[in-house]
Amino acid sequence: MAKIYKIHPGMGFARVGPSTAGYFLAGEFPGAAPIDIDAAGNEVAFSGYKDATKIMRRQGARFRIYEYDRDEASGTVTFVREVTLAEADIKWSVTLTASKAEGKRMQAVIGADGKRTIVPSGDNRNEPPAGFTRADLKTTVNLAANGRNAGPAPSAEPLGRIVGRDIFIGEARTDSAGRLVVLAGRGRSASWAAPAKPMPEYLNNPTWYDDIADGSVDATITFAGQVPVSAVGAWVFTAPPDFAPDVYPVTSLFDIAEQATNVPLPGTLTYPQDIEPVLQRGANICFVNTKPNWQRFRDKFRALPNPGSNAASGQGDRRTVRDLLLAAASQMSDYRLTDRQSQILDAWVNGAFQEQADAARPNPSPASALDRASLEHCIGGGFFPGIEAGTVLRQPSIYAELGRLTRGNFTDYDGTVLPIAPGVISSRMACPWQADFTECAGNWWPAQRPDIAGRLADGTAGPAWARGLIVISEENPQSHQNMVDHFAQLGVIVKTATGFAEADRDPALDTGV
Amino acid sequence: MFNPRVSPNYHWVRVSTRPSYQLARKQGIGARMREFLDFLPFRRDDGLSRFSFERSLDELGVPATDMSPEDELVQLLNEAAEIEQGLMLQYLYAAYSLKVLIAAGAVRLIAIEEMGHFVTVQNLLAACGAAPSFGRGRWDQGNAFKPFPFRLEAASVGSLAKYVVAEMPDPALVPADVKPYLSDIIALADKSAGEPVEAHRVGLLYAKIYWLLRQNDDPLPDPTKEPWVGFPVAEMAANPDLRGRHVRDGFVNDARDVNATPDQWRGNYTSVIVDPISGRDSALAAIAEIAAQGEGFGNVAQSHFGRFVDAWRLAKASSDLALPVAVDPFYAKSGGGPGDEITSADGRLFALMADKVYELVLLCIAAHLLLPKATAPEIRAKPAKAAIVAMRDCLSVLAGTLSTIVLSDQIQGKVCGLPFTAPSTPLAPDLNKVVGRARDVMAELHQVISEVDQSNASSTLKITADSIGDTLDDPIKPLLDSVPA
Repeated sequence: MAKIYKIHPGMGFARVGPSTAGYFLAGEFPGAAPIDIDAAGNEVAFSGYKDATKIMRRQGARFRIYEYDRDEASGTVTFVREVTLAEADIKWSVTLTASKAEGKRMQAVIGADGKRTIVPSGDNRNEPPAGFTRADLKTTVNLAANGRNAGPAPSAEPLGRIVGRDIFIGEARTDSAGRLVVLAGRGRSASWAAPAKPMPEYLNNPTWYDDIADGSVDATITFAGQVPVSAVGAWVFTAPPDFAPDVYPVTSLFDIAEQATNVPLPGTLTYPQDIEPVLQRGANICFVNTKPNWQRFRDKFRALPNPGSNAASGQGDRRTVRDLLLAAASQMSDYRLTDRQSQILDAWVNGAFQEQADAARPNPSPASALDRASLEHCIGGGFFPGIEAGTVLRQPSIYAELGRLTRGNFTDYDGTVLPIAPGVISSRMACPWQADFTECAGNWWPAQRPDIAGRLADGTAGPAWARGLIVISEENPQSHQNMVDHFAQLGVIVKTATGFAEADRDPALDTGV
Repeated sequence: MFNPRVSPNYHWVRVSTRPSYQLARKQGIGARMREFLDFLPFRRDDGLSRFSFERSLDELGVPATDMSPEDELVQLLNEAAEIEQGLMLQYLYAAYSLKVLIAAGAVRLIAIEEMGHFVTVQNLLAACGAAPSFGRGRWDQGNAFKPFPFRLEAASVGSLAKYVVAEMPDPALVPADVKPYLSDIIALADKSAGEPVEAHRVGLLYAKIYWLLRQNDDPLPDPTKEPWVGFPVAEMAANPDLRGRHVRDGFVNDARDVNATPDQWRGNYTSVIVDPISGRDSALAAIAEIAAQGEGFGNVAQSHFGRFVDAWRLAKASSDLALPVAVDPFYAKSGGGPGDEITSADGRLFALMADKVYELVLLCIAAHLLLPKATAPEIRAKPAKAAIVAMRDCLSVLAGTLSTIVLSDQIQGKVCGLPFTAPSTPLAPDLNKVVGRARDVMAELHQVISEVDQSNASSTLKITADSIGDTLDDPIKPLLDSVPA
């Protein structure tokens, strides 16, 4: 029986934030609460998404090594254990590339599902300014970390350079057990033009760049007295903050990955394991989106006396609630549920499910749970272009397995075969991200960018989340600039006893920006 | 407001771009010389000549009236608005019928771009001091410019061919990989239309508008700066009926403080042309841009022509292209018609609902364009957003819903479609009247929704009806409250 080692989660997401007051990790297992990692690298209680000055803290992406037994005859891989510094020496290496400014101008096309999506055109986003080359429009940092609680000192953060200017796009640290934590940049976006050019649109803004990056995560493991072995690598993405971390997407990147890798539906669908999660996520969207159908869906769903019952007598009510969810989803731009999700909801309507959890269904390994939790926080549509990653993650060939990208070639939307490389995925996102973030409202439903700051007790919409930053409209260049300058001060929509409410909005935003 | 005299009797003024050997033929120079002339490009008729800009100018010409240039410009802009709205409705109807999703998305995007053309033409009208034009897009009464008879029908190989031809540029600009298909496409288009598709008439309309907008007969000092690339300036100027016929200086005003703007209308549909007008030069650029993207003789990457060709190819390869939606659907309250009558109870209610939403779209666009100059931008944006919500979130949903309802309880096989009935109350160029009518239509819409709630319609249909009401209340109630009386 051979041993193989894999890094999990296979796809990790770190989020930017200007605060220097430590960092947190989002719940690493489905349903888990966030935690802090303190200065000693230990897990401690979560201290908040914002620091004491109401500025957004960074969210780290933590990676672990897991050991598997592989049956050489059958190829079956069996989970064994986590490997930490208690068991072996681990040397981590991360390559991050920020290349939006150097990348292709992104354009909207109609996808095979009839929805618009964003893909690269044949043109460049930018031409290098005088005195610079194309290579100066992007930057790569090669990071290494090993040992316990290792990492750069605050004054020694690794820096890249774009157009001759220092830029911090991320760092690699370890916790007290030697697990890797990748931290993102500070969310700084800039234009190399002087004066800075306005941002006319949500997607391609000439002369602008930001600190969003993606790249490879690798590890070499050395057990005492043994030859070093390489772990199957992972991928890390840096992304904008999640301003509604307790509101999960109806369709997440995990759903996209399951669809793309053809994960079959369980033989027996159950309400608690398969159906309720979809419905519950839909029921919370109304706290961040004003479209009436989300509230109507929530009200009807919560009014069901027994949504988990598969009784034929309840089919009419189940159909009504399902149709409300579809009505709400149909009004979201360029978005649709995955086929798997549609089949799950059809089964619910038809009563073709088990009311109780399927005890025979194997529990996911801690490694699989990490993969799922990491992706479930991320938006799975509309990919226009998306928040954490774009439509390229719908390409089946980009996956080596569920929740892990290939390290070889993949086939792009237009049939082009491309090698995966650091920066490829993030370069296709909006530049700077704040411009798209500003406009991602109304019929764009990603909770990461809320429309409203929760709802009042009577169900009416709370105040606009981005109030104070919007000038005339979300499309106005000044609105984009305000988001660049003030995103970290905006409130976070968090779960409360009665629903969701805004927390830690910087009062300075209400005195005018 | 500027009120042009309405003159539907156009005459056509030919513009010759031919070489002079045509004269020799007329002088009867003999069979051998005629054979020689047959080999010359202008003599060869490969079935594409009616789409050639030069040939169209020569054989049909540009429309002309006995009006002043200013009156005529406004009249022709009204015609252009009617054409653009008519194309938009037919393209949208086809898009909603398509089951091949990528083709549906592509045709829908083209329809949205036609909306941009429509809105830009409205901007031009405002810049000329004229009222918005929401003339019925059915192209009735012998419309001189319609490329084909107006028909709301499901997408088919034939109807898509018709749309290809309607958007066809000068054949010289057709990409090489498309040329081999043109004969087939044109034959299918003509058959679908029941008569030759006269796409060139729209292009000639825009050519005349462009000519009227030019400052004078002179070529630009740098001809490469001409917004309409290759426009036959000298040839037009050589015609005595066209020479000197340009609107006066100061006629096309800076209307940017009342015009629709891209950030209000196109959102992230960056291909949608919505051009505010600041004067003559921007008016010329706008017309050239519209003509190149769509119904003129020019061609650009990602033109309507190219994308309709792609849709047509997908249609040819498909064995299950479109839903069996009605042709020119109507219902009892909308009046009679040569099309398919919706007689199912659910169908009639939802068709009526769709017509209310359609009227609200027109009213919101009208309100947006009629707001006074001093209106704050955030107020001006409200009716635009309301119109977009009505189109994007309501009409599209209703199209889908209607397609699930049988046309008739007695006849199987056909389903309902959006009727796009012309509003019975003409749209007045008066903001108060427009807002008043919008209030009435909202009340009528809610009445229809209430009828659905009380009917035997399925819960799915009732949910849809209620959600349409909620969706529209969101942007329209604040709009009606905020528009100054």
